Amino acid sequence: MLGETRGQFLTRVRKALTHRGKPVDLPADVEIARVIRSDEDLAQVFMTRAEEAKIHVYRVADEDAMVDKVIELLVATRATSTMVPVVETFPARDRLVTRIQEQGIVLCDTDDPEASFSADVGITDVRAAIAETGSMCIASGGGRRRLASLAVPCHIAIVRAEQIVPDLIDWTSSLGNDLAASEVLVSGPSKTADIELLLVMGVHGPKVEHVILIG
Amino acid sequence: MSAGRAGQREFKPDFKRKAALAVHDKHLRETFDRCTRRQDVGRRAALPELGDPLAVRNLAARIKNHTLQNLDRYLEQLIDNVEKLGGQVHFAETGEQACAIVTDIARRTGSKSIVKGKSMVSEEIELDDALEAAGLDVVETDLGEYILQLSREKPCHIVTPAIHMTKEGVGRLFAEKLGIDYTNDPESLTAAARTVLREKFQHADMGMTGANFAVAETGSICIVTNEGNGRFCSSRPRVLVTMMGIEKVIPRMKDLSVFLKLLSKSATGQRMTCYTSLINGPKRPDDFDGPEEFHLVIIDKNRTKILASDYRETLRCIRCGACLNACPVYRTIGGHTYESVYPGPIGKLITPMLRCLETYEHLPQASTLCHACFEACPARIDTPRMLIEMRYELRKRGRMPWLYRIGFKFWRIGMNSKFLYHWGAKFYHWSMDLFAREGWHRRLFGPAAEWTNQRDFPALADRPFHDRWAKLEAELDAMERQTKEK
Amino acid sequence: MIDAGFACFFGSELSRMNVSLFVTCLTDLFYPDVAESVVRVLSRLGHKVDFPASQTCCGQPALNSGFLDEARAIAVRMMDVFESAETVVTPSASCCSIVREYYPYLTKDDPVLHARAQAMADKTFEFVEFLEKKLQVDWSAWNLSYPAVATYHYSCHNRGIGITDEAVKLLCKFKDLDYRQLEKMEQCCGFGGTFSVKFGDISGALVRDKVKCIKETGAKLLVVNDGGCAMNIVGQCKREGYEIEAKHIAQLLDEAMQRCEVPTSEVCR
Repeated sequence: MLGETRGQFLTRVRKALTHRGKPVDLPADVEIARVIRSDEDLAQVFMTRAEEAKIHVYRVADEDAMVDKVIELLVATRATSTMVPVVETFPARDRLVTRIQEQGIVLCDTDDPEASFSADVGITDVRAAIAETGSMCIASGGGRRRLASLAVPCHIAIVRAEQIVPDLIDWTSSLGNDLAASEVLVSGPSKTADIELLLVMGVHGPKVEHVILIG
Repeated sequence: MSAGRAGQREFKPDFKRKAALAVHDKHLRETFDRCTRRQDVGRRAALPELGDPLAVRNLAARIKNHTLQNLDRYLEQLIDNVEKLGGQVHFAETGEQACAIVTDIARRTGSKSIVKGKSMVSEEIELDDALEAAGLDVVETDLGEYILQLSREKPCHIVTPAIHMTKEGVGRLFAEKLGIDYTNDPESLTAAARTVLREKFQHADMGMTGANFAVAETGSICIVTNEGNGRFCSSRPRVLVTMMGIEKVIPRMKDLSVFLKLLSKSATGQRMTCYTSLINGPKRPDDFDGPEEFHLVIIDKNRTKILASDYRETLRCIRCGACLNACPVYRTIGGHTYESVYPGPIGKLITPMLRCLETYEHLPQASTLCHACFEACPARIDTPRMLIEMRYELRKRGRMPWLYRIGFKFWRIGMNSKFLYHWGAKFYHWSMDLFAREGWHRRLFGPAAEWTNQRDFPALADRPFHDRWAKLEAELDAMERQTKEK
Repeated sequence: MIDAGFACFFGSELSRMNVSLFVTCLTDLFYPDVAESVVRVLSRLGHKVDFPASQTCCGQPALNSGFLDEARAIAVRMMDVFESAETVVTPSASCCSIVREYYPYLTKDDPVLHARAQAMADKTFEFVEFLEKKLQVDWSAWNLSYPAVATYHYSCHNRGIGITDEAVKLLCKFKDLDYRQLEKMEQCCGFGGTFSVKFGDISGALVRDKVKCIKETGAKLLVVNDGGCAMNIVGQCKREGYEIEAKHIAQLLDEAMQRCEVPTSEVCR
């Protein structure tokens, strides 16, 4: 046995708490920390804060316009290959795939675990989005490829306006009981300031983040 | 309590000498001054967005206080939930045990190459050394930590560990270690690191991370990064090992939102870090990618000792570095002078507790008690008060110099008596201040020489206030009578 | 000297407070002019000031050095000295914060003493705090004037008692005063009591940095409201041969109020 057993470990913790101290109760809610309320214009707040975090946001009316926008971005990026979403619930998935092929852009083999490492773009849906922080919430599961939003230099996320929750507090309750193995809040393109606090964009994650907001 | 592994030489810090060197290191002074102030200013600008930042900080402190006093219960809940999610939990009392556990996981899973995200506790236990000694290939993937791994140096700051290095220094380092052409351009240097690390991510067998928070309610591990290395470490390799100190537990998901609102704002002034990852166990059967095995290593390493002590509230620390950025001493001497994984104000308290009070007795004394740390701390840790308590502890253990012990005995006698205080002051003034020129001493002797080594010391006023009062009072009374007559 | 500016004795009997001066050992011995100014300012504002002559020291040097038993003994003595005081005012933020933050802490083992300590903490104020937060003095009637190019050092212990920008705002009420903001105004000057002799190199570096910032303002007057900071910073200026005058804001107020030519009836409230 290299470490301790659970029992041994917890016994020691319990012993350290022989004098727990005057009881401090856990507050029932954390509303005092709330920044954004549900009666605010969530889409507007989300867009403003995402842009502040250097995420490019494009608002479109419907799925058709979304597809147009994706193509526009792919062309502007001069992408030659892209990861496309595998989930069937992805908005207008078939239309999007067809249009991408029409552009002559290669559809990466999403069954290849290495595919994301050579793709120019990754296109994904999101589980939710947070207005307070301008974040998109990307969960695993349903066959989603985690690396499609990570290993690529440019990431395009499709967000529906209804998916936007006001505040981080609401994000935590939106997780529900059935957690995915991974959930990531993406709140900006990858960056570092580890060298002399000089900002460099695009370290390991995408250098460019786009969000297309439907509705 | 001895530090480190058995057979290691007893470590003797050399704080005063290192501080003296640091103080005269112009580059170091300028760098730390600039970097700490920038992050401190960022914090002040970002926090007001929370409406009532003080109330939110008090809430965070309360959540942590409650958690710490019920830590056994919340750890149990965490362990149960991690296991429900398919994770395996390991328990390490000491750093040696933790290193052995991780090495064993690597062996059992046939893992040869490891990619590692930032983890302060792994620095504490010197995990990299242990893994390398076991013949494993470990690479730090946080850029700052990667630089330090190549230069074989220790971190100088909790959040931005390599700011003591110039870009020229990094350029030379990369040219030597990576074989690239010399450049001092941060973009090019980062790109070079990216190329190396990307290849490592792609082929590593095992990923390692620390934990910013561990949510008991769900068994979730939360890590925050800006680079994306944490995501790679926790998504790509087939084995994932997360290390955490016991104090990282928080009760509920909603509590996580409070800490996330405070953490990066307090650290650098960012609203959020670029990536906030929740690790909820290994991959599910229908997941395409993700680790097949998830191991959580929970480490004590003297934290239970802190839990049982009067310094329990230091375990509230969320490792944001705000106290470092606010601290005038840290700003002046930089992180390496502390010779500890944890520098700055929080380090002054926890280093003696995690290691040995006698060895690090200089740390709790190396503070002006200016309260900047307390003002900055998102978890409202009362560092100044605890520094005083730790000094009292040292005094009780007989660790204070005899001169101070005797000095304060005399001080107490003197200050306990109006007569002694008044006449003691007079005596001092009539004898010592004879040597003052134009009201100033250029040179004092004994321990007081430390003062005049740096600056002049004033002479006492010729007539102290207590001798002037009678006259002043009489004047006030006369004035009052005069005014009433008007 | 005091002149006939004590207009308010007559006018404001109802709001007249009995204030006991807690002079602090550093101010008593090194900067008695500051204490005189504090007394005169409070008197001119219509309050009755007394000076409990048995006072010595609040205990801070011992407390900060970890000699809590000695500090406690002196703290209890101070509580005795000020037992019958209604209100206690001190020109030193650090001494005030010791009374407010640490007297209750030092006596937490003894309920009776603890209650007394809390009572003393509740009635003790730092000078600027007293003027601006407690009395909320309306300075407009006084036409404060102090021609000088001045800067201000924020003494650390103001943090412990909740003073932020009150002193700066008050300084800006002086007409003719050219106020120059000090860079890193809030950074500790490096005094820290025994820290200055235990860690002389770090302390010296901090005070040199402070003086560098002061020089950069071009100010000829440094307003500093703490005896420890004053002796540290001015001592460094002396060492560098840099001419600067250092005053407590009480001294500025005292001089300005002496020059005030507003008639009696208008000044009284």
